[in-house]
Amino acid sequence: MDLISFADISTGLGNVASPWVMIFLFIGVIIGMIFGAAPGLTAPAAIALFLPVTYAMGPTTSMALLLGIYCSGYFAGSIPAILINTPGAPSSAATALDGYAMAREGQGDRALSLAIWGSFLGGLFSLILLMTVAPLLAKVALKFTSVEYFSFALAGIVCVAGISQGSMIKGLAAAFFGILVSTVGLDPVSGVGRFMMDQPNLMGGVSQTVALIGLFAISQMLLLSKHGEQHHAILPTQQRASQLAVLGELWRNRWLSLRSAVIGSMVGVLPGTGPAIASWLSYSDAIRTARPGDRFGKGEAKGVIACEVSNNAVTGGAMVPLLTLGIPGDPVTAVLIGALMIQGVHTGPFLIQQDGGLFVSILVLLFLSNVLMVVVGLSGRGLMSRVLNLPAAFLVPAICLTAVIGAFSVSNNAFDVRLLLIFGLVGYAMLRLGFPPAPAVLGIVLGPILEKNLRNALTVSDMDPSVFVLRPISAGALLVTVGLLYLWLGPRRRSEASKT
Amino acid sequence: MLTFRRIAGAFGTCAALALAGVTGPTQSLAQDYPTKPVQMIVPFSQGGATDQVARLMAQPLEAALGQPVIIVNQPGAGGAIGLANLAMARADGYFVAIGSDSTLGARPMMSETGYDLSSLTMIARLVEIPSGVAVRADSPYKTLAELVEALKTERLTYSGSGIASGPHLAMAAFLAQQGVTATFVNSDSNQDGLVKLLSGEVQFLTGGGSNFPALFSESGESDIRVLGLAAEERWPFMPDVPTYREQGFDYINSQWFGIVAPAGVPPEVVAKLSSAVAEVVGSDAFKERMKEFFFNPAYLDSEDMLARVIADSEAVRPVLMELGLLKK
Repeated sequence: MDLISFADISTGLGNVASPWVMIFLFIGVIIGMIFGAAPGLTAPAAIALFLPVTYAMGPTTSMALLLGIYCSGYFAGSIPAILINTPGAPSSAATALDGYAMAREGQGDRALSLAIWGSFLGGLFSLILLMTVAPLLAKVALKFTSVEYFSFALAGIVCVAGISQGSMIKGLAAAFFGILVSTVGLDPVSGVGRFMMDQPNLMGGVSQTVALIGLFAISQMLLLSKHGEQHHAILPTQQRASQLAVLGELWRNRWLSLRSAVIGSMVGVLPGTGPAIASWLSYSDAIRTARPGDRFGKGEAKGVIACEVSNNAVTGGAMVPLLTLGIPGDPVTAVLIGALMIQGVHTGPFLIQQDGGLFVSILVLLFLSNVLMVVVGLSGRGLMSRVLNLPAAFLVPAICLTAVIGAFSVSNNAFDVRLLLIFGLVGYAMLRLGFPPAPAVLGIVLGPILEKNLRNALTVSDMDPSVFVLRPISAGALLVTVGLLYLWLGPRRRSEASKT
Repeated sequence: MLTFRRIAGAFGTCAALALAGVTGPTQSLAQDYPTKPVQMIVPFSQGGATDQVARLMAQPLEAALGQPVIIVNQPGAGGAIGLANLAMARADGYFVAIGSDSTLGARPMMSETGYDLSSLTMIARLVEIPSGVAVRADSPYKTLAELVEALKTERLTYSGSGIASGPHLAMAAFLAQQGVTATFVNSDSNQDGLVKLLSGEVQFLTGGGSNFPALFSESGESDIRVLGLAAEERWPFMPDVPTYREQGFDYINSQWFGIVAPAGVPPEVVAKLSSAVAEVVGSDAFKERMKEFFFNPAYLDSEDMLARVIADSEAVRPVLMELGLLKK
C-alpha cells in the first residue's frame, strides 16, 4: 500500500520551504543545545516551556521549533557528560563512563565529535525506519504487554553486572540502592504511600532528574572542591580531533553503530520507555561484543559511539507510535501531542492518511534538525571545551548553581533542591567508598518499570507467574538475561579465581 | 506581522514572571485585585488533559483579568502534590490551581494528601467530559449490555488512567451499581491504557470521551469501538455512540476540571475571578477552541462547584471503600 502520495510530498516540502520554518528550526536547535547541556534542564522541560510560543504559529513552524529542540536536546546532554562527568539528562549517564575518561586523557574533542556524528547517524537511521516501516513497527509495539516490559526491564537491570567494571558487588549494590529509592512515594498499583516520612512532597516519589544531578553533578563538584586545586583547570589541555579521523572511526565500528541504532529505535517505539534505557542497553551490548584490547570504562571510543547512536535513534522511534497510534513513545512526544492539538491536528491512527503533508513535513524537519545539530555542535565544540580552561574556583560554583536551578525547574518545587543536596552527599559518599553512581541511576529509571509491570502482569494473569515463560517474547528476553549472566559472571569468576 | 507580535507577547509574559519574582510580597487591597501576575498551578505534567485545560484557559483569562496568568506545572502523586502546595500558598487570589473531580473529591479520602476540601476555596468549574467505555474493534462485545452480561460469568480486566483516577472510579461505580466486578489493571495515563487495550492485555478501557474521537477516521473506521458514554444525552462529538441510559443503564458520570484557590481568599476576589472565568467560558472563541480538544464548556460558580464536589465525593466514598482505597 502506498502510504504517501506525491501530492502529500509536494505539500510537505512546500510547507517546510519557508524562511520562518528554517529560522525557528535553527532557534530550536540552539535552545535544545543549551537546555540539554545544562544539568537538570532537559529537552522535555524546554519543549514545555516553549510550547505557548507555538500557539500563534502554524503547525509546520511550531513543529520546526519543537523538533529542533527535541533532536539537539537529546544529544546535548552528552556535552557536560563528556567534559565534566555530569550528564545533562539520564540518557547521557552512560556516555559519561567512557566520554569523561577520554576527556581526562585530552581526547575530549574526539569524544564530542564522535558523540555529534554518532547522534546524527542514530537520528538518521531511526528517521529512515519511521519513513519506511512505521505502521509495521507500531504492530510490533502492540505485541508488548506488561509481561514483556517486565522481562525486558529485568534484562536491563542485569546489564548492570556488565557495566560495573570495578567491583561487581558494589555495582549491584548501587543498582539496588537506585531501585530502593524508586519505591519512595505512592505505590503505583494500589496507591499506598511508602517511605514518605510524613512529607507530602515525597508522594510523587524522587524525581529521576533530581537524583541524577545530585549523584553526578553535586558529588563530582564536592570531590573537586576537596582536591584543593582551585586555581587549575580540571582537565589537561584538549587535543583537536580531525573530523575525517572521527568519521573513519565510526566506519570501523559500523556494525556496532548499526546495532545501537536498531536498539535505540526499537526502545523508542515502545511506549513508556525512553533514551536512558536505550543508551544503557547499547552500552552493555557494546561491552558484550568487546574485543581484547578494548578499554571500556577507561576511555573506549566504542562506549561513546554505542550510547550516542542509540539515544538519538530514540527520536525517530518514538515518533512511530505517536504518528501511527496517537500514543507517545517517550516524555517529549507526550508534549508534542498537545502542541499538535492546539493546531487542530489530532494524532491518531489516521494522521498519515488524512494529513500526509504534515507527516512529510515532520520527516523533513527531523532530518534537517539532525543536520543542524551537527553544524551547531561542531562549530560550538571549541567553545564548549574552552569552558574547561576555567579554574575550578569559577567552574564549581557555576555548575552547582546550574544544578540547583535545574533541580528546582523539574517541578517548580523548592523541596527538590533539598533532595538534590541529599543526593549530592549520598553520591559523594558513594564515590569515596568506590560505589559507581551510574548503576544507581539505572536502578532509579528501571525500578518503577519493573515493579508496575510485574504487578500488572500478575494482576492480569490472576497471580500465575507462568506467563513470563509461556509468552514467547518474554521467554526470549529471560533467556538472553540468563545467557548474559552466564557470560559475565561465569568466565570472569574463573579468571579471577585463577589469578588468586 | 501578527504572528510575531503574539510571539513577542508570550516572551513578555516570561519577563513579567521574572518581574513578579523581584517585586516580592506587596500589600494590595482585595478591591484592586489583580495588580500582579496570577500563578496557576497545574498538578500534572505538561501534555495531559489538565495541562491542556490550563493552557487553553490562561490566555483568555489574562485578557479578562488584565494581568498575566503564569502556568506552573507541579506534577506528582495523581495531582496531590500541586494541590498540597496550593493549600499552603498565600490566600490572596494570586495562587490558583486546576482541580478535577478526582483530585478534589476522591484523592483526600484515600491517603494523607496535605489538603482536603476545607483547605481550598472553589473558584469556578470550567469544562467537563462524559465518561465512556471502549473495547477493541474485534471484541465480541457489541453493546454495553453484552459487556455487563459477560462480566456476570467471566473474569475480565480493564484499564484507564491511574489508580483512583476519574475514569477508574467512574467504571468502578458503574460496575458496583450493576452488581458485577472486573479486575483493574493500572496505567500511567489514558494512552498507556489504550496500549493495553490494543495489545489485548485488557478487555475494555474506561476513559473520558475526549480521548476517543481522534482514534476514528472520517468514515468511522477505528481499531476500537466505543460502547457508550455516560452523558445525559448523545455527545455532539460522537453522535453515533449511544448513552448508557439509552442502553438501559441509569448511570451518568463526567470528568470535569475547575479552578481552585487556597482557603480564606477574600470573597471579592473569588467573585472577580469567578466572573472572569464565566466570561471566558461563555465566549464563542473559547467554545471553538474547546472543540479542538473535545471538551464541553461547563461553567459552575463557586457555590455550585463546591456542592458538586461534595456530591461527587459522597458518591465515590462507598466505591473507594469497596476497592479498599479509603484512608484508615
